[in-house]
Amino acid sequence: MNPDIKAINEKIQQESVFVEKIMNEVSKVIVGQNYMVERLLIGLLANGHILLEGVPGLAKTLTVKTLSDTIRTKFQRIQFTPDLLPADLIGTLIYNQKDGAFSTKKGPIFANLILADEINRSPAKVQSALLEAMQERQVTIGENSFKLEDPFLVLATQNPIEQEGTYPLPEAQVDRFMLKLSVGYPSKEEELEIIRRQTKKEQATVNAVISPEEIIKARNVVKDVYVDEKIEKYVIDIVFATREPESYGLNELKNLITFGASPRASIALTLAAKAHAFLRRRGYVTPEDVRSIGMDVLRHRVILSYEAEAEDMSTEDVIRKVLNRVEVP
Amino acid sequence: MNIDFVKKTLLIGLFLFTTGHLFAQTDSLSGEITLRTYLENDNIPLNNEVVYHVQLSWQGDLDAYQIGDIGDPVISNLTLRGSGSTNRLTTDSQGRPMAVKMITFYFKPTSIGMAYIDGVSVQYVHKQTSESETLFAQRLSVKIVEPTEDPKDEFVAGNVLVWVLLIGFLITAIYFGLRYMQRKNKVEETPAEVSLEQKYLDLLSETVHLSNGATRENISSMRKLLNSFIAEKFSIPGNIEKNIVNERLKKLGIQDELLSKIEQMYDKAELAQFAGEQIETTELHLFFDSLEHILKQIDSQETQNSGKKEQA
Repeated sequence: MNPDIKAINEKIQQESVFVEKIMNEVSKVIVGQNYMVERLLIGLLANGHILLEGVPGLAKTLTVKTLSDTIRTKFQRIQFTPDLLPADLIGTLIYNQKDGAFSTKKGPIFANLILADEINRSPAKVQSALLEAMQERQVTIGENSFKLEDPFLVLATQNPIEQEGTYPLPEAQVDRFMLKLSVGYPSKEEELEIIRRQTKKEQATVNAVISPEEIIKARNVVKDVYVDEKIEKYVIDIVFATREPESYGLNELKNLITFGASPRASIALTLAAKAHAFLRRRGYVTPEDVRSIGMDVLRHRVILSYEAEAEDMSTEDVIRKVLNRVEVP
Repeated sequence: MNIDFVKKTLLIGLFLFTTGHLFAQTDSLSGEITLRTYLENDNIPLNNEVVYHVQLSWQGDLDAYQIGDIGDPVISNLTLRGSGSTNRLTTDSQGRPMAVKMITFYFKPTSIGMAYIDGVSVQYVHKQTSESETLFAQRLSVKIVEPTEDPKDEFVAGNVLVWVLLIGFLITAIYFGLRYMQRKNKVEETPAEVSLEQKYLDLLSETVHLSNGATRENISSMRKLLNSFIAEKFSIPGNIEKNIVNERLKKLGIQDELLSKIEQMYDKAELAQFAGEQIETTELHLFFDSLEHILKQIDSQETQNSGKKEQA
């Protein structure tokens, strides 16, 4: 093996010990949902925010809460409501009558892990405040700008049903999320186990098994994961196939896609593939890493046309076709 | 006898003689040689021919007279198309020898209306006496009428139709004959149906050349080949992954030892392609053999299964 990759592999072996620990701790509370937990870890390792979408009751909030419990870090849950104001999120200046000066009252966004629950229930100004903080990783209150602590990860949830009275996130803002996860129902066996666990007298407790410093260390190792040129080209091909499907023999998608994925998608796909390889204890990225994470990276970045809607084609269908068509190196 | 009566009688006789031959006119000399000119028909459609005969006959042998050149008759509203002559020896009603010389002219009418053939003059020499005489024939007229449909045309059209049908039939027969031959040849040329496994065994030997030193390319080709085989075997669309290949090979009854070799091959192929790892030639040979063995094993299993099905 290439000596550099061998060294990366060794580093990964050392730095990825926490992955198993986190998985074990999370599995004490969460049944199944390994896909969701793994993706949350990818977001954590690749420093990318995650949007979780799924019907109510699928343990989206519980999973995020449990994951945060496994990390010795500051966790904040913000329930997005229609009357929420940006100041409720980022903080505000408060006038102190004693000394006649304004003091800064930091909002709940000053945490390492933020759970933005039902993000689409708040108006655009609140969403914008959060999304700006996500992008800039800093918050300005009055005349002062405050750097947000690292790691800073936003895990937002939204409900695909009950769209009345909601404020859907604009495409440009959805693009800020590295991954958009579609959370599905558990299997019969898993649901049986959920009933048993949740109806017990004693509830499982989760231990914090990793510090924020360890996460930052692991992130640095993830950045070192080797990406061969063939993989880079493969990533580019996938993203370009969403923009110019006809160039990849996908003529049937030409009229179904209005906007393809942005270059931010190429970056996110490469980073997420690196994190995926890290979770597999590998110092290099394979096409399987890219394919595994491709759907979650592209799902919210490919905008379909009315024709697609008329043909009952979902974004997932389109991306699946792209992933199946683009030649694997 | 009254002279007027004699004249009248002669005139009537002459009239009767000339009108009795409406379209034939006969002249004779001393009752020995006779000239007769006549038309086959004096009412001729524009698209038909006018046939004009000049007949000389006499008692005795053919060479009793030497007949001079008649020349072409003077004609109007007609065009000469050709002429011909025949000599014939026959007998008269009393059994005496009779020589007949016949000259026939063929004319093409020019336009509808009357056409005329001026009388011809025939000069002859009696060979015994060397007497030379000339006979004259009267001018004849012929009426040229509207052209009629030529039955020949119908005949020709009928013939053409028959020929067209015949040629059509022949072409059809040749076409189907050739097609039959082509099909027959194709059936003979089509090789026996090759199994999917055999197809991939052939591809393996065609695409992977163990001795060329391109170990990375070779192992990558082997990986892609196995992926493609599994995808085709189980009709899985698009790109497939290592775990699917492993799972399907298990379903096909491949032993664990071989499965582990294949897993190693995938890992090595990944390392070679995406992590710059070198592949040893011996390893490559091992993976090649494993892949070949798997394909052969599946092939023989499939053959056995199909044999059992046929027996059942």
